[in-house]
Amino acid sequence: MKMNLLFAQGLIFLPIITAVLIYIFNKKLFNYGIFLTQLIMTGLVAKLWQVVLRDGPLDFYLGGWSKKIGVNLSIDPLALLFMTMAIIMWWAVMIYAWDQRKDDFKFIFFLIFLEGAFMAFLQVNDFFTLFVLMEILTITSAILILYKKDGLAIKAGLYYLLFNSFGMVVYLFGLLLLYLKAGTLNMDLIADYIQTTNFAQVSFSVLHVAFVFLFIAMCVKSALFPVYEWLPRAHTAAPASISALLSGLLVKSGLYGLIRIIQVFQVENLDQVLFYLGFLTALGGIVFAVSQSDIKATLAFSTISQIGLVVMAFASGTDLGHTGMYLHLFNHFLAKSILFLGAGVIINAYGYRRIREIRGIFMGHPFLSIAMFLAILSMVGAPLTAGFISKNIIKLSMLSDIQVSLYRVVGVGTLLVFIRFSKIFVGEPSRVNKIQVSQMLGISILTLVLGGAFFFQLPALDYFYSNSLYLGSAILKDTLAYISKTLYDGSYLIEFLIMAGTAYLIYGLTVKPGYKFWKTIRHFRINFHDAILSLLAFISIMLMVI
Amino acid sequence: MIFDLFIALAIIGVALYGICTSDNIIKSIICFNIIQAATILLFILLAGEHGDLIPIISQIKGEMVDPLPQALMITAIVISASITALSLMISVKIFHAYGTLNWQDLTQKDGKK
Repeated sequence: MKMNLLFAQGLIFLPIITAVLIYIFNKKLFNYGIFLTQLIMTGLVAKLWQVVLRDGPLDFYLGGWSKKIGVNLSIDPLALLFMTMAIIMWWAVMIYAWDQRKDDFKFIFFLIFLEGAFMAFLQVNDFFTLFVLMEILTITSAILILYKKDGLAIKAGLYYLLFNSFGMVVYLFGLLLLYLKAGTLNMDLIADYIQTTNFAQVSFSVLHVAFVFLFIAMCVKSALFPVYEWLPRAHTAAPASISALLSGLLVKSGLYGLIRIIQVFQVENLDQVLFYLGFLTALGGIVFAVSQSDIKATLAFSTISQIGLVVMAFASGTDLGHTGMYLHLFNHFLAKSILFLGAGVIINAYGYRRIREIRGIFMGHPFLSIAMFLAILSMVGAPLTAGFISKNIIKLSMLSDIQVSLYRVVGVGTLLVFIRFSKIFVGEPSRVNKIQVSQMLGISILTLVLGGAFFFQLPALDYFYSNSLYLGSAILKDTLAYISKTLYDGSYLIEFLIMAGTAYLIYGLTVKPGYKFWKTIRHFRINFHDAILSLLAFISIMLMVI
Repeated sequence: MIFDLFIALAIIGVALYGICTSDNIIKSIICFNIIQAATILLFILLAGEHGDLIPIISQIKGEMVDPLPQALMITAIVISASITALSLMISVKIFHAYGTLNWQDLTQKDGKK
């Protein structure tokens, strides 16, 4: 038990200590230390997987304080899944950025510090430490966003910092109400307390208000519909490696918080609200993504739409939906990171970033375009890719016919976005630059994992459920068996082809001619005041709905 | 007690009004700082009543103030200070890059780029 605690704390403190050492000594040799740290951390995560799979979730109480007032670390499979994602992500980003930034000790400092903070964020089990770590994540990633210090980046950084911190003030307010009622901030104890009150039966109480505040704060962090505006700005302006990190992983920190909060409160009537919130987010993301001319902005809005899809899956509340959600989080993280890293290479090579002007990637960068094409296929859920499995599980988890058809709308929309995006591959290359070795390595790590994900996902799920590690229920196991049997027969393929055809038709009819409508949408920006107002409006609407 | 609460809520209201209407980035940051301070104040106020003892073990017997919120709020104050510092730093950079600290002007320059 003592060793496990050491492992868990090592995950948090190792990167932070490394970061501080790099910053103090400021020697080139020390910069190589990040790889050593990363190697040890990979080992630690693997070890923790082994322990958790054997003994179940781990709980630690730091400093000998009681559970009620102390800091409580807890590691369960969900946290471990995110940790695995984080490890893969940081490997890829470090290697990708290495050639360019190996002497830049400040960049490395913030990058590796962020990893420690993220690992801590995944482990904490009380709402206040969660708040502190979210703020650390926000501040560190804001610094990384404005790292280039050009005009666009600093503006995006300020917007990101202020808006997210405002979301965190909302969170603090919710925390206050929660503490008043429950007398503790530990998640387990609050979950127990909520069991004793008749939270689900009462239509309105202080706890409901607290829930709404916490919920909205997490919606801000995960960029759901009315409060999404910070995401495209920040992810467009940041350096490529940081965009990949933010869009692939850090956006999901909000979703992680959302999952935790909903697990604690177990609100009954949230399914519909959450579903339509997710649907609006997905639809909005798609419409904006189609209209953008900037290659990175398209990808950023596509992230919003995929988050919406994930929330739609989460809203079903069933085990199947949650499984689909976890898988899709994983697949989206891989695919979107590859696309952002690839976009970074392309922008470096071409010097401009309009989708309409970038052509001939396939001729110029064959390796890169294969990786990106695999990512796109996985993104749209094409057969024989990882996205195919997760998207179909999400589809199976939809509760009613309306939900299935709304899901199809989102699927067609995603295809539409990426049909437009994949135009960059065809044609003659205008300019070919040599791709750096480290960039290629970083992308190929992610590509290999994404390619492998198709093969290991279903067996891994099977293993989890046969050892009843999750909430594994018999129904779910049957469904999984059903899925793995039927996934490869023709009906899914035909459905995919029909959706692709529809998307292509829509593309040809509406997007390609370039109507003025798209231009209006492209220039639609919410300024800071309106964003704050829409956040306040969102709070009041949610207070009325709940 | 009620009066104190009213004051804290009123400060939040004023800061919210400020954050929604002020055009200047520095003013937005100040309002943001105020709203955080007011939330912290509210947290501290609700942790105890007037006349409660300080949370130190001593000879005097009586109702003590709940020490946990105070411990938590010190952390929150540190966070609020660092966010303010960082955002002020960024606004200096913005002024150097754009020559203005007005949200509206910045949005217009956004369109040109």
